[in-house]
Amino acid sequence: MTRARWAVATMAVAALGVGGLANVVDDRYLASGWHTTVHGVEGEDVVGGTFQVHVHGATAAQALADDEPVPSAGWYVVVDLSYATTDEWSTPEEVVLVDRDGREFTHPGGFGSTGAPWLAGPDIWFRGTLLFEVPEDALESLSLVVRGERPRPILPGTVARVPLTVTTTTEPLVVERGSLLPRRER
Amino acid sequence: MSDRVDAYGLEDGEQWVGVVVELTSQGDEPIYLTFNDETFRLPDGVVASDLASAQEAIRLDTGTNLGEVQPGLRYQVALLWRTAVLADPPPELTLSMTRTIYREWSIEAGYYTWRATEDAYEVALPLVEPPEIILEDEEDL
Repeated sequence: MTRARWAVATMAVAALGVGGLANVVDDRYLASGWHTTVHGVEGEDVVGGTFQVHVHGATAAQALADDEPVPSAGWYVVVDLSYATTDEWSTPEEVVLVDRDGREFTHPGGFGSTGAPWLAGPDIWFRGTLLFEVPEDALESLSLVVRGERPRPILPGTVARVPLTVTTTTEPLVVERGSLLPRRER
Repeated sequence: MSDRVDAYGLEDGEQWVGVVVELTSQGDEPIYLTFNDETFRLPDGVVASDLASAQEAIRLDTGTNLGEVQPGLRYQVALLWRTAVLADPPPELTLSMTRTIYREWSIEAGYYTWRATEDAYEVALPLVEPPEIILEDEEDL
């Protein structure tokens, strides 16, 4: 084979390669929301997109405190955290727990705004608790994922993910509304 | 059957007719019953609403609205429909259950809707007393 033929063959292979790569990008990102995950740890600040998040800890119990304890179909998990934004006042669109199998858990509903995300401002931190309900086999492998903006099929986005150490208790859990923190406190 | 259920929306002459079901989400994400959900149906003519889907879903453990069904949890739920024709309720009622699947929209990736399949089941349910937890307290009436 002459050098010219080699060149043509190489270009053909390269074109196939680029085409294949484009398909992979399509399949992995565009269809499912192309987003970046910033990994954080408990007890430290992490910035994911337009939210700064600081997770203090997480507790699980089989009941919520009320006039009469409210039972769970599994376990309630309360995540104690603080957050602020990086630019304007906003409430995160979606905050979920994710387990090792990729199962996602949201606010259980039926409790009004109790334990649901709250509004925060630019470098203006609020601390409160978020409420979730999960099956027992998820308790050991939960991470908190904060999506300031819900990942969309076309728009890129950034989310923060913090693995949780969940402490279990026999006492019914108390849910705290978000409240303003003094400057530099978490 | 009851007009004492702790839920809003009854008009004059109407009662709630309810079915107790056990629900589990076996997928990876929370799911919820929607106003046009095609899974559960009562016989034609029973429901006093333009919508054939259940109008309320109340958890029997907490007495609260079902909200999102979290993966892997098993819920006992009362599905409720408004009815005006069951003043003298029959001893049993047939519930139809259609298998629905979560289909991605053909016109936009990443968006899904529950759609009925051809698989359907019917079950005859006996008339029983409503679970106490979904009823209003006597003194509140």
